[in-house]
Amino acid sequence: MSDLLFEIGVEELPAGYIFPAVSFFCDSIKEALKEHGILWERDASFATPRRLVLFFKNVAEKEPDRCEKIIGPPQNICLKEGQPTKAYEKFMEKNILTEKDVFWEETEKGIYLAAKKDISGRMTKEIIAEAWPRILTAIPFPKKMKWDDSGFLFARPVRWLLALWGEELLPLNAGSVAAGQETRLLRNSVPDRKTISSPKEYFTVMEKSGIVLSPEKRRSVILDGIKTKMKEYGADSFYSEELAEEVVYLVESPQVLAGSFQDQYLSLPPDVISAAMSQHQRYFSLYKDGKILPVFVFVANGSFLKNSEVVKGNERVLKARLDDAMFYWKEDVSRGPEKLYELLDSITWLEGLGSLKEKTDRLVELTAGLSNSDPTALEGARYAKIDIASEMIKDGKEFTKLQGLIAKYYLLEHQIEEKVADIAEQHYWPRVWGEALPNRRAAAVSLADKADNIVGAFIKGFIPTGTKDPYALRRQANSMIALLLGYEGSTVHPENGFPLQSADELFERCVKLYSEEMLPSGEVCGILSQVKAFFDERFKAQLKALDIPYDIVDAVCDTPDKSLTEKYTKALAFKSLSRREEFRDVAATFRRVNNIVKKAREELNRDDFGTPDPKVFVEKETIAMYDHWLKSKKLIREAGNRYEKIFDIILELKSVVDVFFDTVLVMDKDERMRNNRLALLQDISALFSEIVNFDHIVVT
Amino acid sequence: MTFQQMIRTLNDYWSDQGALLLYPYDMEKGAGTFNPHTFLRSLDRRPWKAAYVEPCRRPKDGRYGENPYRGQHYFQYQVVLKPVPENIQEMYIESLSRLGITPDEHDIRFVMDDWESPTVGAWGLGWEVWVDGMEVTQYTYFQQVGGLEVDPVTVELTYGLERLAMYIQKKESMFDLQWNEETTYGDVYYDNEVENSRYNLEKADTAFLWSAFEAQEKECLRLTEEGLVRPAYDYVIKNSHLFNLLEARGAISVSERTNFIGRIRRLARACAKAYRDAENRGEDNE
Repeated sequence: MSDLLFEIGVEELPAGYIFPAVSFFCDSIKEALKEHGILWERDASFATPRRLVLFFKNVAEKEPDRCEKIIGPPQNICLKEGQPTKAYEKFMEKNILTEKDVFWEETEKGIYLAAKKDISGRMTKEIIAEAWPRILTAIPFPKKMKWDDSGFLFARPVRWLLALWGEELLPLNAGSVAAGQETRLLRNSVPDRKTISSPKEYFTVMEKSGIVLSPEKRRSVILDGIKTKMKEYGADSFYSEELAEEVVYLVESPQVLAGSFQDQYLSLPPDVISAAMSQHQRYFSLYKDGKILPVFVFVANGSFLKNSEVVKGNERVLKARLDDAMFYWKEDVSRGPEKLYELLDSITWLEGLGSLKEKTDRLVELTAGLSNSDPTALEGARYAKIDIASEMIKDGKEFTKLQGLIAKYYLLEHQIEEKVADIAEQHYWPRVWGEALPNRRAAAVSLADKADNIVGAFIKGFIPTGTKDPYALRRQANSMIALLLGYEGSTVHPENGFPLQSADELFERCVKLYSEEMLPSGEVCGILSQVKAFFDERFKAQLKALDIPYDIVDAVCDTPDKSLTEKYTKALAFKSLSRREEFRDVAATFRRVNNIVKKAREELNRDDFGTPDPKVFVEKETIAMYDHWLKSKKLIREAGNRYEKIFDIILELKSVVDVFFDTVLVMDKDERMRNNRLALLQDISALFSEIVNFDHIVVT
Repeated sequence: MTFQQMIRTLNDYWSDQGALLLYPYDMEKGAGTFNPHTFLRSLDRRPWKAAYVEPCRRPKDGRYGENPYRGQHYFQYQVVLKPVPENIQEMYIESLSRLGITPDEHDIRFVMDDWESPTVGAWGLGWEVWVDGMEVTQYTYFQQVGGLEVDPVTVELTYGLERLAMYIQKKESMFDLQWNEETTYGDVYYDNEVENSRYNLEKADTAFLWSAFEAQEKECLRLTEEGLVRPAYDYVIKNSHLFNLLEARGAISVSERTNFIGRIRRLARACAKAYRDAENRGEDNE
């Protein structure tokens, strides 16, 4: 048994690439070993920006010996007139067999020459060497590059490779780099390279050099360090855990340091300050009682002669960024919301579809319809996009994620009502399915904005296909559905749903707001039906996401119902009804009703069989069904949306219909009789198709 | 260390590494990458090692000399190496050490920053290099230039000289940098900054710039057809700068922007292709 160690040394990998790469690398080696029945005691993977490391403890020296059956040519080829042929000899020769090793094996295809052969297991290191190139090139990275003429691609240049089998060096390579026994330490270590003679020594060397190989350990060093700094500054929270996660993969020897900035910058909104810190610089901001403190925490890589110099350097960088933010802030505030609104006219929204100001004007118009022309909502819509014209959002790339919030700050700065300012912030919500819903007024603007984004993109032909959805229209449609259903967290809160029957009317009004030159005439209907179909698909997908079985989704959506809330309620009800044992049988019976009517329509080339006339019925089964149907119909109408009740009525009706089908032949020779029976079935089918389309229910 | 000593130090260092010490290209440009020593030379198969200072213009960044870190004119120190030396990262760090920025005193980090210039149809992978949190160098392995795959790969190191100097001299403003012991950066460039900011942001005649853009585009295409790659390429540089000026004047809307970038890229691609074709013919003749 030997210990196995790999270290792929690279020029710094992007943070997000590291974990998936090392996981894949480790799994692939495990698979290769398992495939050959090679056992090992335990394994571990480690990664820093400069190295991907795997360690396998006590791996078996070779794969197990085994006995294998090999099949040769068929008997009639091996023997001619009882004598061995060339084919026979060749097989024996090739496999180094003697007479006593072989036998005849009966298979499905006939009798074949066969032999049992003892195969001694290959050496593990050979197996690894064989699997290595395939594994290395398969490690997944979002982008790969070349850097020399070896043709080898990796996320960043590989500069060294350590591959040890116990104390033995494995003859592997990564592109032009051959495995050696040398690893590299931190860049300020003296010396910064070290020869490694065994896996065990490797870990001792790394530890001594201050490199923390384990991401988990780095995470706790970082979080503990932040907590210590928080204590020092009397802070009660920091921003953010998510950033800490990224920083884990930006350093290999974390040292948590802190610096400060001048109080004058505290006049900037806290989100702007923290964005200036976190977005580009990866600094953590500290808070006390919800207020941001004039300090920052950062994680340096390694230790230095004088930490104070490193801190000072970082302080200067942050000052420059805060100066930029301050410049933007003052510039924007001096312009005021009205001027920013006017500036939207110089920004194109989607090419050929006018400016952002024109988009905003549509937003106001649509909001009017959705909010009963509530003046607060209208003002909110008018100012919703102003920050896109601001310096803060336009130029400062670290602040773009604050879009919406910046508009709110500017409005508040100009003494505009908070209710209006909230709309500017919240009209982007929910950004994704499940996120918090905005207030009612902002919800109106949000719906209008998203509907317009979808319609505009469809006009331009940017229609999502497959994995391509550059304008994130699916996400926006999902957000609309969340707004209409009242979906938040992971549940639907019908009372929070926006009171709008369907998105269709919103889309219709939206298309009409585009001028004729933007919208080639004649395309209005086409675009509208595309948009509606797209939205319907999204709705079905989201119902499935809410755990409604797909056949129930289809059955419920294939009805003339417009209201999404209604469809959702119905889908939920039928989902639970579908668990009842009679459900599939009921579905089968009424599918039969639908089918007969459909087929008759086709065969007889007739769209409508009229109203059933009770005087024409003769058989008692038909009369019974007719009477029962009249009662059921009335009861169903009265039941409204109490679907459980409706189902009970349908269930009772089912048995009557079944008797009818068993005894009466619908397609009677007598035309009058036949049409009258069809008229009755048509009536049943028509009412049900308003409630739920049983055709979609999977019966078996 | 003064600004001019810094440049001399980098020159000495890279010269010792076998680089040719070259000079800026005599044209307005947004980055040292535009210099034919980088753009064209990264397209052929021949080895190439060069280092040069490149004055750059970014009209939009004009702040009338009021912003301590941002100007419409600044200097890059550009190093291009092909093929890429195996120890390039160590070489680079050593160059910082020569400037007094050593890894035992400073937190030197390579932070992912994949570079892309849609204007010249180029992209590469690499980092921005941080010294104690400050970005001082763009470090890129070219993968494509002028829409063409590059082979062998060229590595480009672009030092931001003012940033580095502010760090080294511990100055809060680029205009306070000591160019030599007596003269500051501001003494030499402040007035230039103020006047050109006015020109870039307020006074440039956009109608004139438009017509020049159109005319130069035609000239560029005509010259590529004639096989005069280098003169044609000069017009790519010129048009890219005109585009930057027009953008600084707010004369290009967002939608037009994509369109104009596409027009310049078309020229850049045509030049790259013509250069590559000529190179290939040359190899055939050998």
